[in-house]
Amino acid sequence: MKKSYKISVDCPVCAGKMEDAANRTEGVKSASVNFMSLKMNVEFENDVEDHEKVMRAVLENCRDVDDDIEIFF
Amino acid sequence: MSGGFFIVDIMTPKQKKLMLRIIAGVVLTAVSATVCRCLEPPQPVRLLLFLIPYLIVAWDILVKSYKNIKKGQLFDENFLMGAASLGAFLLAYLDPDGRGDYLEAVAVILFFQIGEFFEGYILDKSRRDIDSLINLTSDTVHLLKDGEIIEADSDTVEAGSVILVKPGERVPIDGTVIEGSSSVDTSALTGESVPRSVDAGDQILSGSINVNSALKIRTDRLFEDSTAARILELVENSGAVKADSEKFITRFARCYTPFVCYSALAVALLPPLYLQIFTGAADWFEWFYRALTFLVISCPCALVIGIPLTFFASIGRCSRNGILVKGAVFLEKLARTGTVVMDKTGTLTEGCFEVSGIVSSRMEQHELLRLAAHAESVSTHPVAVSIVKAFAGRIDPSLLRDAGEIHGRGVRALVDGRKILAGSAKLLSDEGIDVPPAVKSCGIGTVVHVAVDDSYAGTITISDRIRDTSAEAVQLMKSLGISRIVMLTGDNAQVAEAVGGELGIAQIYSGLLPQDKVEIVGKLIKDGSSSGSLVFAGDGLNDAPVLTVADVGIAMGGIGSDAAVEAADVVVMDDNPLKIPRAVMIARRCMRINYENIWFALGVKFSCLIFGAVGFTSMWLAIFADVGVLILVILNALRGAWSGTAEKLSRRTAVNVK
Repeated sequence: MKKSYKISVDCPVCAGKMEDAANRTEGVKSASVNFMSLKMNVEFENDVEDHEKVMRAVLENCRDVDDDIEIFF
Repeated sequence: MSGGFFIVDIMTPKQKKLMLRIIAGVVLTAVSATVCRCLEPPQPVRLLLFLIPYLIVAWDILVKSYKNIKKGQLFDENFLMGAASLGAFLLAYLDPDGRGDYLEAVAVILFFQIGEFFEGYILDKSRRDIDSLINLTSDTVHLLKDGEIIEADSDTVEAGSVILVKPGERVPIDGTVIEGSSSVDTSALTGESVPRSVDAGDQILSGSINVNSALKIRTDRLFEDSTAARILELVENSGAVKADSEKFITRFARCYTPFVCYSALAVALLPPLYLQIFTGAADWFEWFYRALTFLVISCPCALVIGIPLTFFASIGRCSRNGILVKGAVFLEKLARTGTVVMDKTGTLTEGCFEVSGIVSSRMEQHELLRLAAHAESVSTHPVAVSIVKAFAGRIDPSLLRDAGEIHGRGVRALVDGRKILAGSAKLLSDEGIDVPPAVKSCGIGTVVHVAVDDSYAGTITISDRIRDTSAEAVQLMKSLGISRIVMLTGDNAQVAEAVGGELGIAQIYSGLLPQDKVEIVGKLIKDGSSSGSLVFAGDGLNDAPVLTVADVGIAMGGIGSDAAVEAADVVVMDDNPLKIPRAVMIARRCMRINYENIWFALGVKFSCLIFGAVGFTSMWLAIFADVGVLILVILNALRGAWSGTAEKLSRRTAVNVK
C-alpha cells in the first residue's frame, strides 16, 4: 500500500535524513522524500493495517533528527 | 518563473518573523557601530551593544545547534555558524585592537540569516509557481442532485454524477458533456492554443477551462483518476529516484563539512604551535581568526540547495511546454541523449489513414472512387472506412447488390449493376483478373486494386499522413548532435522506407511485432551504451514494454493509455514530435547550469579556503564565499525556468483543423 504525505522541512540535508529515518521505521517497506515538492511517499509493509500508527512512529524518528519538521497525516 | 521578488503578502509567518529580526539586527548593529565609533565606550559595554542585535538574529541558530549537539550531530550549518560567530565575539573581546571586531562577528550571522531568508523565500516562490502551472485541479464542484446545485468536495463525487461547470471555470473531473455547447481551452493539457468546441456527447478532460457557456457533464471517473489529478501526481512525485548529481552533492556535503571543520581546527592549532616551538613567537589570535573564516566557508548550502532547485525549475519549464518529466534523473539522461528511437505510426505520422492517390486506367477518378466506395461501404475495415470518407458523397444503398466482405482480402459487390472487386492483388488474381505487374500507384501505402466488370480498373492508395512537424523535429535532433535517429514500425518496408526518406531517417526497422521492438531497442542500447542515453518515443498503445527498456521512455499524446503513462519516464501532453528535441534542449541547459554552479561554488570556496589559510583574507571574504555564492547559485538555478532557445527553435506546433 503506497501513500503520499505532505511534509514541511527547511533544508535538503534534513530531508535526506528524514528519508533515512522513515526507512528505518518499522512497518515501512520503503520511503522517499522529495524536498522540492515537499512530499514523502511511503510504501507500507504488507501486514500493516494502521497506517497512522506507523506514520506517528515515522514522525517521531524524524523529529529525533530534526525538531523543526512536520508530516501531515 | 516570472513576477516580482519579495512580495510581502505571500510570505509565511515564519518568513515574516525572520525578516523583522534581520531588519532589527541591521538597524541595531548600525546604531551600535556608530555609538562605538563616536563615544568609544569601554569593552564590556561594547560587547553588550553588539550582543543585543546578535542574539536577536542568532538565537534560533544557537538553540538548534545546542539541540543537535545533544543528539550527537555535530557538523551541521547551525553549529558552524554559531561557533564561528561566537568565536568571533570571543576574539573581539580578547583582542580588540588586533583581529577582533564585534561588527564582523555580528555580520557573519546577519548575512547568514539573510542568505537563509532568501533561500526560504525563493524555495517557497518556486514551489508556488510550479504549483500554479501543474495544479489544474479544483477543490470543489457544483454537483447537480435532484435538480439542485450543491457544492461538494471534488474527491467525494462518484463516477456517473452530473456536475455543472460554469463559464470561466476549470473542469474538475473527466466526463462526457450531456447538455450545453461551449468552447473549451485545453492549452494547459495539450499545448493547443486554439479552443476546442464541445457539444453534448463529447468527452471533456479535467484541467481544461470552459470558456463561454455552462456545461452539464456526467463524470466518467473519480477525481483522483482524472487527468488533472494525474498530471499533478506525476510531476509532484518526481524525485523519488535521485539523479546522479543529487547523489553526488549529498555525499559531497557529508564529507566537505567535517573536512573543513577539522581543517579549521588544524589551522587554529598547528601553525601557531609550530611557530611557537621553532621560532618562539606566534600570533595565536591571528590563526584563530583564520580558523574562524574556515568555519564560515565550510557551509555547503549553496550546492545542496542549488542542484535540486535547478532540476525543479527545469521540470517546471518542461511542464510549461506540455512535457511532464517524472524525475530529475530523466533530465540528466535526456541531456546525454545519443540515440532517439521513434515509433512511426502515431508519433511521426498522424495514425489516421487517408486516401492519398487514385490511379484510374479506364474511367474518371471520381467514378472509380464512387464505385469502390459503394462496395467498401459494407466493410468496417479501416481501409474501407477511409475510402468511403474520401468519397464524401452520399452512399446510395439502393445501388448495392450482393455486397460482401472477403475476410482479409477485400470486398465484392454489384454497384449500379456493375461488378466491383476492391482489395488486394490476390483478390483480383483469384478471380482471374490480371493485375498489371508494374502497378502504378500514387504514393506509398496500402494499395487497393479495383476491378470493374471483370477487368482491371485502377488503384486507390491509402496512406498514413506524416505529421507537419516530424521532418523539422528530425532536423532539430540532428542539429543537436544526436548521432543515431531510428524509426521502428510494424508497417511494411516500402512504407517505412518512404517515410524514412521523407524525414531524413536512415536507420529503419520495419515489419516489427511488438516483441521485436523490445528486442531491437535492447540491442541498440547495448551497441551504443557509450554514446549516451537511448530515448524512445511512442504514442502508447502497446509501447509499455519498450518504454520500460529505454533509458528515457517518452509517451506521446497525453495521459491516455494507463500502461504507457505508468511505464514512461516522460509524458508529452500533445502529439508534436518537436517536443522530443525540445526536451533534450531544456535538459541540456539544466545540466549546464548545474555544472556552472558546481564549478563556481567549489572554485570560490576552495580559493577562499586557501586565501584564508595564508592570511589574504578577512571574515568579509568568508561571508561572501558563503552567502554570496549561495545567492548567485540560487539565481543561476532559477535561470533554468525561463524560456529560451529551446522554445524559440521548436516553436512550430501542428494545428489540427477540425
